[in-house]
Amino acid sequence: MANSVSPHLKWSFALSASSVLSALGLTFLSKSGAINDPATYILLAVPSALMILAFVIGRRVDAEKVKASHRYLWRVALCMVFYLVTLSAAEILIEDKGLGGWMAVVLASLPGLSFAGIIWVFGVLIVEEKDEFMRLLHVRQGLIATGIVLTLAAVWGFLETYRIVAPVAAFWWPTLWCFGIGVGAIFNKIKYGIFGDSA
Amino acid sequence: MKNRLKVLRAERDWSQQDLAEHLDVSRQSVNAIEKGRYDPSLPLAFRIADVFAMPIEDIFERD
Repeated sequence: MANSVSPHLKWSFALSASSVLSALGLTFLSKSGAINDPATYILLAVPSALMILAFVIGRRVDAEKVKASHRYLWRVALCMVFYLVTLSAAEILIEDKGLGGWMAVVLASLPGLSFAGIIWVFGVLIVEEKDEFMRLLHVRQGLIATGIVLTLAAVWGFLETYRIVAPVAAFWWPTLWCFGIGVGAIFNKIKYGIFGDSA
Repeated sequence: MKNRLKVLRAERDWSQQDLAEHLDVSRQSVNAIEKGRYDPSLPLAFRIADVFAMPIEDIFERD
């Protein structure tokens, strides 16, 4: 099983990461008032261009020669970019510009829908992974993450019902699931001596 | 399940990476099987038997 990463894939990773970081920086600059709205809209071209370039270069990677876990990382990066771009758009158009109606509903739903992409990416990783031991590790990570998050959500829900704790925004549960994947990797390390590639 | 992978590898002067490449799996998989942390599926056990040109029961044995 090949361990080397193709130059195309490396560039795709680097551009995806740059896109996410530049989108984060742009969101911070815009929300802090360091740059005005027209400048924000113009600068949005930077993370968008980086994302498109990452996608174009990533398409050149021979799918059969790349490990499923590498494709997984690239797809997760794309989901993160989608999340950041739609979140930025929602912040600017709904929060700052006062967009309302059905367009606000659609726009406000988009960042959350990126999590559907994360679940799809994780499922595809399990399907595409040819190494059965690695597949076992991925499945364990997913089950551990799901178990942790659903249990925490249920416990917190009852604590909320009896007014013992403050309500929590629901988008934190899928966010915690992503951290749960990391916890699952630690469980893998303890049981099998390896974190797994999807951590 | 016990196995003789380490001995069979040593006889051929193969590293775990060498065996992994013969089996088209990761080195970590070979390591996990060798240390008894993971029992391979029947198809992978047959592939291992094919690589060493031996019957499965001569490579793997019950605990």
